[in-house]
Amino acid sequence: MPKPLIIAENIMKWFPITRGLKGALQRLPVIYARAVDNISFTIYQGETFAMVGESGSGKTTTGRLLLKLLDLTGGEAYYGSIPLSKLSGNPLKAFRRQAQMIFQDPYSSLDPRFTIGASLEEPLIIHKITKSDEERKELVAKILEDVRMIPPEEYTWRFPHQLSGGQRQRIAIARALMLRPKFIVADEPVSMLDVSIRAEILELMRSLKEKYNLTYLYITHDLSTARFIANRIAVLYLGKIVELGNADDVIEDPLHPYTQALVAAVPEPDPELRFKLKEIKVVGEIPSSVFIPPGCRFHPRCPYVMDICKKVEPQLVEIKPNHYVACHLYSGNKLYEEVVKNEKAANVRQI
Amino acid sequence: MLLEIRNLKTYFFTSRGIVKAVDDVSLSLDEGQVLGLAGESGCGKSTLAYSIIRLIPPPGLTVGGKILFENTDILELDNDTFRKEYRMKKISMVFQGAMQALTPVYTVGEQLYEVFKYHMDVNYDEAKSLMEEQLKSVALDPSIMRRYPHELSGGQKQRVMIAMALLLKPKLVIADEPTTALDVIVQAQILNLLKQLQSKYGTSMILISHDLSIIAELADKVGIMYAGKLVEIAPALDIYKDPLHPYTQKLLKSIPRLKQKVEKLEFIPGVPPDLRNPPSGCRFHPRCPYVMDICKKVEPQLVEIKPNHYVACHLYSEGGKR
Amino acid sequence: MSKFFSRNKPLIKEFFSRSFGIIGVALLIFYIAMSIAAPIDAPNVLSNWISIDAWQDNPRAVPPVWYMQLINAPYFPTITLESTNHEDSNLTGLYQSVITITLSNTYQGLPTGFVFYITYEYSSQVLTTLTVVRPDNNNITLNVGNAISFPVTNKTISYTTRLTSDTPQLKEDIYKWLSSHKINLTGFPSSANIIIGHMLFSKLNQNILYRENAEPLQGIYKFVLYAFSFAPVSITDFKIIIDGNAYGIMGTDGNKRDVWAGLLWGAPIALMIGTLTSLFSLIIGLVYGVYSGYFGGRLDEILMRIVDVLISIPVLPLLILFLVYFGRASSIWIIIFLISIFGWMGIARVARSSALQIKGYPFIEASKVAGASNTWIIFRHIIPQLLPYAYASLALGVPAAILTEASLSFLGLGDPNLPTWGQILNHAQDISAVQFGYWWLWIPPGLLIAGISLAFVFIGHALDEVLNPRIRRL
Repeated sequence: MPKPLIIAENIMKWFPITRGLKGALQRLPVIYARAVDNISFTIYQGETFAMVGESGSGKTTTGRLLLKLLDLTGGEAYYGSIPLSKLSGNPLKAFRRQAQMIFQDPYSSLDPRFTIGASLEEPLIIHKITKSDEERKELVAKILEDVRMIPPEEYTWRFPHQLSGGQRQRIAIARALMLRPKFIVADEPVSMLDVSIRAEILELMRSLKEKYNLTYLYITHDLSTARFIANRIAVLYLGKIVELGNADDVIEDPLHPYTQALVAAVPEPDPELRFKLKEIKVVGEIPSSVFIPPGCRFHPRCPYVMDICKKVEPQLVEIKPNHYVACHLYSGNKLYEEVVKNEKAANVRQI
Repeated sequence: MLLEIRNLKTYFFTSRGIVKAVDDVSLSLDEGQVLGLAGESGCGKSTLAYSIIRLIPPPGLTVGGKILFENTDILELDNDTFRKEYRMKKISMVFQGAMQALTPVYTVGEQLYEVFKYHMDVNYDEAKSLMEEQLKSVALDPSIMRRYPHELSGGQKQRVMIAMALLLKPKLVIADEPTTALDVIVQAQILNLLKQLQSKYGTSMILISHDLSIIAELADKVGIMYAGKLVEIAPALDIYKDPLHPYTQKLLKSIPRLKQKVEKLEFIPGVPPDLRNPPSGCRFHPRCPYVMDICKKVEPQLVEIKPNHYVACHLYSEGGKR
Repeated sequence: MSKFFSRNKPLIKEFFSRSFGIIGVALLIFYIAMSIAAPIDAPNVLSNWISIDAWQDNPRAVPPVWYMQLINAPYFPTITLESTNHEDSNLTGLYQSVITITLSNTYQGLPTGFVFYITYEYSSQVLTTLTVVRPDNNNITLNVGNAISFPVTNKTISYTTRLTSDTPQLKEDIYKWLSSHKINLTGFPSSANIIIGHMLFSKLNQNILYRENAEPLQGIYKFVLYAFSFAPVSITDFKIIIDGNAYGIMGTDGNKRDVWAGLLWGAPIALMIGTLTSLFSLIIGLVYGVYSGYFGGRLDEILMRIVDVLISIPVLPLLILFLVYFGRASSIWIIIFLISIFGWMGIARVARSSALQIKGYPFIEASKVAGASNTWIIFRHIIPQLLPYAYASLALGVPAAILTEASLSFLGLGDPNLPTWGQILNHAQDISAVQFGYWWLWIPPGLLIAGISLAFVFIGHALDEVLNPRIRRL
């Protein structure tokens, strides 16, 4: 059994919505956008954990919480055994060396005024890792070779705008690797790239993972890339995990109606599809996280909605081995009832 | 034949050189047909679309070729005639990034009515029933006419854009990446909608996307563009089942599939060329796995290898390997 | 520096492809040339500007020479003649020294006065006279010895004396000369009643009494200065300054000052005031705005309300109040300080909104993930992004500062020790230059102020267009 690297326990992030002067004077209660609302999961060392969801599902916020780019509103996240909410000062700086991020937009995640070399050297300078300029240049050259920007000397003096999108994303990956981290949050690293380039970046991420023994949190809205790269997939909807399991299980046997809709919606390069309509049972679009529906958050869009869905929020329970779902459709399941019984005594902490 | 493009050349005259965004492209489209145009960003597929609707942003200019729409060369028409008689009325466009394509200060109704105002002599009340009908056909409640764009979700905005494009019942609709920035489920809904509307009205369509999976959902015929050139064009089935050009083959193999487990994705090494200074001979030769000597010198022509299957590659000419 | 040019070559090229960019730079080069010329052409002016003595030998409020030529008016320029070429001799115990200055007068106009500087080296009592040999041979002997009170000495000393057309003894000599040549002096009971500045160069007739009526006498003039003593004596230096009715390139002002020298020195002072004030405002505004925008929240709220308050205060009245408080002690540094203090708010607002925008860019977050501190991010990532704006606003801030200083100076609240263009205008106002037609006192400084503002506005706008991507055209 691999060791857990990241443990999220009931983590929450609520953003207060500005009330304006009138609201403040009338002492209206503060309204919150519940971007991440009480979720728990564990990421094990060496795995790639994918978080899939539409925009507004809270997947990006979760990634930022785990890197302490945002402060938790509630709950606790651990890196190894270090509670993130207690980190500050030098320990936080040390944590930054361990956990890094790859950003969605390769066009703006590099300072346009910095050369590639300067961008890559920045983390080394901040952490005072290298003693001499030569040592730094050597490290930069080595990492550029790692991300297949060969020969490195040709790229160190270029500016980001002189590179293609795929090349820039490779630089962004190189930058994340500069500090030799253990954990990397990859926030939609390929969604802004052409389909033809996605494959290259995903392959690169996979090989770097082997080489440097990395653990990824892969955030995406695209199930097909998640299946390709991830070991496990968590599906998020409106700040909640609705389904979690091994990548193949979640995609080949989706349990939650939302996951089923996501799987059905993915376009396939098959011209036979031209003559039939896709079966999309889910209606409408994801609502704002300010107005979260009561009961099951998905019930207004769910094709199988029942009365209980409108009142009681379903819990995430293990329906099959290592396959969790939060849906009342499966409440007849024995495993489910067992958990609900235990649930009353203690909250499910770890998954 | 509804549309025929002959040797179209659209160049951008930038301060750092001439970008040959569309370079000698010919293709044709029948009535009721859907043409998918695929290629990496910067391959000229959007510029081709903008050339057809004559909205190329400066410093771009169509410098050669013909665009025959119902046997009229629309490049010869003066601007006013084209705007009044063709744009929106006969050829319309669904733009990339629907989120920004609506003016935030006018209601949906006002923006739809504007289309009528320019092309037809109708007042708001007469136009209203037409607009309501159009909104219903894209599965929107007509009450949406009184709303402002910021009150709509991304999917609703895209539906409004589609309704607007179809308002005057054009013969040809150009959809430029109509589903980028939309979530997967909404994307599927919009693709379904386009399918329904296309078969209902029999509109011809040019669908532009970098994603061959999206094109597969709609297209009868698929054109693959690379570095300003059309490298392969064929009926959809042929492109997907028996791609001929090495670029098309690679493009198809690089798509991550959801329904089947892929152990290793293939990808095209290298980067698309700089269109100011494209490679000699076949523009794909620096990235091609089957590159031959001739590829570096002679530019291949688009030839019909199989019925209706055209490809521009030396592999299929005499002396080629296949 | 060369790296800067090679890196920004396309931008520089684009800057110069704009006609107003070129005009702006050309104007700026003109002002820089003025600034370089000032210390070469008029080295002592800066420290002497308000000294009365330094300018006492000049005519008062006369126009430039070229102007008199242009309007074809009879003029006599202000000229200085000097000789050290003395002939010393010893005639049996009587020592003698002679110095002669020759002037060929071809001018149609008449001078307004004269000044003699004479330096003697002597050790005993000196007798000395000056003979003016006129072309009409009606020579004048000026008993200059009467006008000089030589310090008594028994060892050799050097002594310089200054005599002018206002010296009573010289007037007395001229009075005698006039009466000996049968000039009717009724109405002039004594030598104190006549004005002699023009008489040396006038035709000797009844009209000579009034400068307006006097007729110029052209020809060769000789000024022969004799000194006698029973001990060795020599005239080591003899200098004649003839104050004309025209002066130099830009005339003189009501305090006899050389306007051209003042205008020249105005350029470096204006450039200094402009750039320093603009730079201080920019630094304050940039740092203030970026901190406010970057940290956001309550701090931002407080800082921006302070800006709102400051920005709603009318600046000029407040500056006037402050400067009245500082009184005549208000030096240029106080003015620079005050204009900077009231000039940064606009920049702070723009810097804040830009910082708000930039801090949302992923590369800022990327830097944070890399472990960068807030100070690092502000100074390495945010402020460099603002530099294009900063360059443009630096250029645009210069004319504002120059105009404010000029306004304050015009109102009499500037630094009176410095020849700023505003000060020259203020002086023009004091002596009602417009009413008296002393155009050279207000048109040139006005044009120079307008020109320097224009130069920076042009440069600023061209920079803004080149560097600011939002308004940049393809």
